[in-house]
Amino acid sequence: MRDRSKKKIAVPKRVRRRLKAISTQANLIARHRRREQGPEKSEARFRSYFELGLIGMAMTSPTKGIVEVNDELCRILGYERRELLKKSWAEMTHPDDLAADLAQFDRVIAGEIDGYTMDKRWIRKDGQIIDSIMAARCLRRADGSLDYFVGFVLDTTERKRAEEKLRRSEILLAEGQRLSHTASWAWNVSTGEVYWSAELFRIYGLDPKRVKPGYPSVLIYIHPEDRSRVQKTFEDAVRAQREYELAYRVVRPNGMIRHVSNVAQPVFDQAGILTEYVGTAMDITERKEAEEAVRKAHERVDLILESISDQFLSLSKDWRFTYFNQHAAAQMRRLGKDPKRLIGKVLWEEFPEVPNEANLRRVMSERIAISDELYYAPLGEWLANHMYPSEDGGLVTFQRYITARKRTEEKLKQTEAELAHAQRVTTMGEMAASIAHEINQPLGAIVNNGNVCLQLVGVPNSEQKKREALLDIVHDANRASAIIARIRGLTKRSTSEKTLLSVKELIDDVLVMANRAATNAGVKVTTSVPDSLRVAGERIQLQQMLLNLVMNAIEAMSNVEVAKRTMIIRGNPGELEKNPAVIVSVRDNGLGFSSENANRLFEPFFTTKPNGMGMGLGISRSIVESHGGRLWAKRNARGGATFYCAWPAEKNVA
Amino acid sequence: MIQVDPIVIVVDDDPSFLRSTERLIRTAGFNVKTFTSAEKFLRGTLPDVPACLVLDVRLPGWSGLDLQRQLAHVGLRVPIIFMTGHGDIPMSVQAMKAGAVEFLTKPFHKRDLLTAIEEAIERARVSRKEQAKLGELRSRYQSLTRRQREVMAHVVAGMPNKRIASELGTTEQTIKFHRGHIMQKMLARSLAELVRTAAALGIDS
Repeated sequence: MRDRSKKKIAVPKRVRRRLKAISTQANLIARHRRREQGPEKSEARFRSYFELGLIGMAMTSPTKGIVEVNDELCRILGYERRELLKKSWAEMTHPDDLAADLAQFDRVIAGEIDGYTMDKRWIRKDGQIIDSIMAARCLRRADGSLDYFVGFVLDTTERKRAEEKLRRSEILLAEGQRLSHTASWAWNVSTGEVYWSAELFRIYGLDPKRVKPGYPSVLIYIHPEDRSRVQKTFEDAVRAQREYELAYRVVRPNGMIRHVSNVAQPVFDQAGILTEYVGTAMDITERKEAEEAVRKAHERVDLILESISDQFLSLSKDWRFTYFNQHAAAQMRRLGKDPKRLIGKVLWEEFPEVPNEANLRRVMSERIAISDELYYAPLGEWLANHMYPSEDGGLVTFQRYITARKRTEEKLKQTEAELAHAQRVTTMGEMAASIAHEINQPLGAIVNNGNVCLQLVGVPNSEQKKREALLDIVHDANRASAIIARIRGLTKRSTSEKTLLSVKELIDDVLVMANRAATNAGVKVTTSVPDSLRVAGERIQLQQMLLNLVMNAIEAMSNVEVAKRTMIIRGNPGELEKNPAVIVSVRDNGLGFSSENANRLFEPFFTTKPNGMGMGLGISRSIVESHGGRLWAKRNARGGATFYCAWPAEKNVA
Repeated sequence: MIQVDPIVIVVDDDPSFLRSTERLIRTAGFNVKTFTSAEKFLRGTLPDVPACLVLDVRLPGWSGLDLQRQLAHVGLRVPIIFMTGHGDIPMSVQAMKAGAVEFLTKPFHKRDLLTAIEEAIERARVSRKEQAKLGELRSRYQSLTRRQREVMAHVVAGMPNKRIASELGTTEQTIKFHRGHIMQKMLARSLAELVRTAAALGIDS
């Protein structure tokens, strides 16, 4: 494309030439008339021009009155001939151009010149402004006085408008090129003449006033690494007279590198001969840089996703797989799927049974992050999942194998259960004397009563006595059996079956075991537990835990005077971390614990007792915590300690 | 001395066991009195008959062993039969050393208990007789003059009259005279008997 912006808005040369010819003709006519007093031939020729209508013509008087007009001038000015004949040219002249016109006119009157040419505007009858080129020539009489004027008016309004439009569009084009970083160029094949748009100079960082572009001189501005490629592509295309596309780097004189994309096509004349190449060049540096930045960011993200040890995959909003990192891909292969072929496939079609389908659907629909842990049978693995909604409306999941951890947890749980059992058995051992005493009491009574009955066999009037003794036997046998059941319960392995338990019953059961020990130690036990208090738990474990606390309290008071040995067991509704809870406290008046031991109370193997295993409180704490509760100890203001255990309250219990 | 009905006192904190033991002992023909704690027993009065205690070792408050110690301390020599649900050796040794008649582990044979009770009652009777005899000896001793008591102490120490006379600053004849009166008042038929009596009364030479 040629750049016309620098050209003056001008009437094409051929128009000017014709106008000049007409004007010259008019001069000749005038000269002839002056010399020959109106020779017929000249007159007729003039008349023919007049009537031809190529140009607006008028004959005017020295007083500016219009004597004669042709049809073309009537058309240009929009008046009827008769109207025009009543007007002066001055009144139809655009006010801004009148002064200049009159100045020239006066010079003619004064005899300084015989005519003049000027661009001038007219006001049409309908008020429209008409651009024109006007040539005026005077015809003088033999004495040199003015006879009349001949005026030639060429309407340039349409042309002017087109010129204006062109200029405007060229400005717009240039502006557009500047803004879009798109430049245009043309290369004349035969002359080698090169045209560059301003934008192209800007792209190359060259001053259009100082550099004249050409080929192959332009090659020096191209990055050395791209130069031979550009040269080859261009020359091959020209040889084949084909269009071409090129992307290359331009090195500006200041060393700055710009990325340019160039598209060009050949232009042929009517005869099919290649005349020139026209092309557009675009500065794509910013785009390239942005692309590079995006590419790098993607690379970084990919690198991260590939280097993490988790499985990462993403799903589109219509549940199609869009990405697997290497671990996710490996997982898919473990499942017998080709990860590359899975891309674009719908999750539910490929994996109809996904254990955490509900959570995945929630993440997708509610746009929230959810984490879960599940056992996935096809893999034989435990998985920890973290699912997040992604910005594209889909979701991403991070997945980690936690089978080993789960196994460890399971093992730990088992070990804890075994340890708890061992501790229970140990506690039982420690309490063997108490237990034996507890059972032998009813047994002793049974034997006594049995002996009484034997003694009374056949003794007259002894029926009542025998009945009483037998009733006691039955009662004591039942008592013994109940005690054995309770103790067997304590030494059994825990079933980890949680049931709803009455806190009061739990404490009563524990006190059956501990009462003897408390009695022997001279400890007075008081309890205050509402009948309605319930806790969900595993009976044996909770009994063990409470028994540990009670035995602990009894032992803690072994060194204080008998009168002070009191234990208070309380059960109350309360709060645990702002949720309704059941709190059981066991308070003693013993020696308490030192502040330095406060933190170590629950540590395994920590004990202040000479024969203690140091497991009791630790196990108690793990029992409470496995029930979702908490166990802690406080020193009493007046000596002794209080142990508190709290569990979440059961809401469904009245 | 006329025979009086003995009494068996049972102390156990388990009401059911207490009742069965009471029933058993009563059926065997003894008078029985029961208490559920050592403190309650101590608040009661001991009838003036041969008595024995059937005592549980483990009691709330004072234990059976505590009670045994306390009774010895105040000089009440009641024979004690201990019972326990679960006795250990140190405990039974301690009890037996302190003079317990028997140490029974619940449940026990009727015969073992009744044998122990009979023995204890016998001990109580013997003890009562000894106490009575001792009381008589004591009153005889009370009837001696101060000088006679002095001479008696020397006599039971095995001193010849001559030596006693020089010790007390008197004549052998006077000592012989005192000695005759002492033997008469103490109803001692021989020197050996007098020495035994002095030992029973705890008279040191």
